[in-house]
Amino acid sequence: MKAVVALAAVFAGCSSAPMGVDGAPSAGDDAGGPPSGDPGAPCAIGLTSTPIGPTAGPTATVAVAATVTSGNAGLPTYTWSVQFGAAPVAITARPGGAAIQFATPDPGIYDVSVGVSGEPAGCTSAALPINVGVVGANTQLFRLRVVPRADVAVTPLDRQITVRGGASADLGAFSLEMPPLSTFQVTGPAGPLAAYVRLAPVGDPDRFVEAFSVADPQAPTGVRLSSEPQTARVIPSSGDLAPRLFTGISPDFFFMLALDRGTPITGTVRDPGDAALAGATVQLSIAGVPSTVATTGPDGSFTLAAALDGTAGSAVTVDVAAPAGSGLPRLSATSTAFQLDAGLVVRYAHNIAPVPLDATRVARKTQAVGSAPVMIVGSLPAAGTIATGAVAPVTAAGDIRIAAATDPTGALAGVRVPPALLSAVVTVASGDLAVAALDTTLGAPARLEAPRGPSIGTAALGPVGADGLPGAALDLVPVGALAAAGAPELHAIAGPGGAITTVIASGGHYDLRFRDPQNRAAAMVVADRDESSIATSYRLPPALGIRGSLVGGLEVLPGATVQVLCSACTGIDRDRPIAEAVSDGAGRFVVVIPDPGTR
Amino acid sequence: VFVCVSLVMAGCFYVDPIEVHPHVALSPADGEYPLYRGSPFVVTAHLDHPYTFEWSAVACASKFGRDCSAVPFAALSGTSDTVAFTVPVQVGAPGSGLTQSIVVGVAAHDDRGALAIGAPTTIYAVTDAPPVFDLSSARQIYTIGVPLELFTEVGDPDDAVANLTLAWTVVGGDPAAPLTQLPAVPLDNGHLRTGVELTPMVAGAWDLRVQATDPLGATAIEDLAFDIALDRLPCIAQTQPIVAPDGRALPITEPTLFLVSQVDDDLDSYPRSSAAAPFGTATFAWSILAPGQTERAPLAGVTGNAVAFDPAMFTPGDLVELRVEVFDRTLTPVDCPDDQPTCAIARPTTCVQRQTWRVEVR
Repeated sequence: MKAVVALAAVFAGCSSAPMGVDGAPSAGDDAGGPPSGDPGAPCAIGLTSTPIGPTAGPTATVAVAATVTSGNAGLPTYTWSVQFGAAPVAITARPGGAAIQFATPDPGIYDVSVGVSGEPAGCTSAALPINVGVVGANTQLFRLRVVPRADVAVTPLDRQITVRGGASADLGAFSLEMPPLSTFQVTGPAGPLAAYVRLAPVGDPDRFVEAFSVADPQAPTGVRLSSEPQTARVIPSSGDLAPRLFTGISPDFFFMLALDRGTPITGTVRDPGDAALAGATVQLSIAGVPSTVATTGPDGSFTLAAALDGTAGSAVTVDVAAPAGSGLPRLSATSTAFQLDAGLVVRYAHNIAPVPLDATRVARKTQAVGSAPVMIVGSLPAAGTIATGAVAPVTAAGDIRIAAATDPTGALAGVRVPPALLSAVVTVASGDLAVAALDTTLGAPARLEAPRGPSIGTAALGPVGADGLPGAALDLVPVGALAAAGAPELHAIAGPGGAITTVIASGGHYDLRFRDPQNRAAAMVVADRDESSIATSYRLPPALGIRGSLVGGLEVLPGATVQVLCSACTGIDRDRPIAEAVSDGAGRFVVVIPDPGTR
Repeated sequence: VFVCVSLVMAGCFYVDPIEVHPHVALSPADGEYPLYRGSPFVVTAHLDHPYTFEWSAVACASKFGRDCSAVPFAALSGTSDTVAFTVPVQVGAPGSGLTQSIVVGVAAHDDRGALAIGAPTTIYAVTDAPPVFDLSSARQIYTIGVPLELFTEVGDPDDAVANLTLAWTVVGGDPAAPLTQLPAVPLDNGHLRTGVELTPMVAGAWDLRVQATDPLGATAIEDLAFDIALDRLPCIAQTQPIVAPDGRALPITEPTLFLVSQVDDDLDSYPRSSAAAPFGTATFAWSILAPGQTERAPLAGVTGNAVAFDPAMFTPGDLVELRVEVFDRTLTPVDCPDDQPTCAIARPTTCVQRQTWRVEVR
């Protein structure tokens, strides 16, 4: 089999197109077709390499042949060059000079270029990067996201890439779509309105485009959308119209997104004593689209609005936030069986009547921790029920996040919490946090200890040997109670020998996210570590450089953000970049990612 | 020419004109003096009719055209009245002595073979050629504190470049700035690529002078002028998610990563533009204005380019402001009033160091 990249040049100048990572021409290639018409000296140079998907080895070789196609006859002269990194590679030219062969003892990118001179005139040069892999390479899927500069008329790109372990690779050229400008307007019963709109191709939510519409009939909103049918999630800025999900939108020159007041949904909220709970906030989410937000009145009743048409069978999440100071958890239940037209009855469980903490004092050893913010967090698998019509009530989980503060004596005066195994995250001072267990199942404890945060020491090591990685970064991302309390991430930079020292919250758990801005190693995540389980050192995985280029139409795309993202992740981890880069003036980029390795 | 003379007997005589020797003079092209060893030399023969020329030139060890080589270093013939050649460095073979003069001779014949008269040989004194700089670049602007490598190429027509003495001095900017000589690299054309490294710590116009001196004392001077600019402020170039227009809020329904994906800066960009010194990376300061609060709370310890925002931390309908400010190594305070969602410390106003997302929890 042969991999062929057709390179075309019209008049002077042959453009080059790289290979895809799997040895085949990448989908993004824009090599152009063969030139036509004789004026000047149209010329196409085809470069053919064999074998396809070459691998490195002591006796491995790659052959490359050039084919010049021109309207004019002639016997061209070929000048070949092969580079591996910055080093030239010895080549053996075949008779006539149109083909070469070279050894590939090492895996990586071999950059082949050929200059063509003589007759036919007009041919200049062509280039072909050849990815030479490793036998037994593992493969791993990543996502490559490209966000162009705002002033460039192309759409963002988000697509999967397959990376083979053990060898750097050239991903080829990625072509970003340059669609015409589409305009839209969001309307309501009274005309155009302001709204947030998130558009994405149907079935491909990662390739989203965001926009805000305005309430001006003369000012439709312009967006550049790929040519596929789109979904649009519309959330109006005013609270009286129901957000809505539109699907199958044709990205025409102009389209309308019409909102209405939706379907009114009523209900009541009852506290653990079965009394009406006033001041609770209620919101629904239907297939990911929120309803309007309602607040219960003195009688515990509420009315909200949601777009229900086309949502039959969709999962509905009911979210009820008790008023601040109530000491009640936030309820949440999801079901496909809710009968929304029958009204909702939200009941807090009888056994979660709040416990006052007035007698609980927060201290550090013998010192009271006064005037300190305290976030009490926890969860209850069954904190209430949500009933609709004749359907059996659905159990609602309880999420406890109660913001409080100690008084000058360290007491949690006026604070109430559900009876449960909870955690109190105490901010003794800025950056000085402590996580204390708070068991209220048998009543309020007399004391909460908030120890000083421990200083932890670890080290970031390179992929091989004992070399440390000074300058490597460690982000400590709170998990568990700290995350629930909204504690900030911690950030530390490795010093000499890769040593890292920082102070963490006592009792706190963190994900350790290592990364090396100098790309000596790939990023690594160590999940859920606390003071006792943070190792003395961590060896960061080998890094693999992958490169590519960006084009939009016939233009290169400089200044675009290039992110490599997790392909299998969900939630917010799906959006956390594994590697980031910005395309250079020629639209090229290089990113360093974890090496999938070899078998 | 026919001359008709009236005599007693009518008749005509034919008289052939008498051939006159043409006259020739040599002159070098403008600007050829002084004549240097190893330098090109152009000389023209001035005549008033088309002629053929036989040129010859010999190198001599005396300034007065004596002790000359027996073998011409140039011998040309043709119809061109101008010839160009290179003045030899040595009279003959290596070691035969430096050329001190050359003797150029020309024998010019007209189309009938008559030899021109005049000054068929001319003695030209030759002197030591100074080194030659042949690289000059457009004036560049660099950033203060960034090590610079500045290069020039130097050659010498009649001396080995290895024998040149090079002296670099700072004559404009900060004359006390230390210079580090970089290894010289011989080039294919016989010249030498040479350079220095310096780290300018003073902004303004700089002038770096390099003087090359050959073993005979001939010198050449090249000035490299450049400008050193102050470290410019970082600019937030790209963020996600979208920022709501003034007075409006971005609805957030699920945990969302707020991210500064690009910061433009000459030294401390994000992502980092180079792993090499002195390049670094931008730093970030995040803060949050929670519902019911009047002051923004810094997100202590968060210096990365991203912050995760979990709407479950708030109540549906809450309005929250999330703010990021970016810094380079100068840590220039972003001192705009707190109520400004964006801030450009200096012009251009499109270069902002602050961005604020106004978020509605949904």
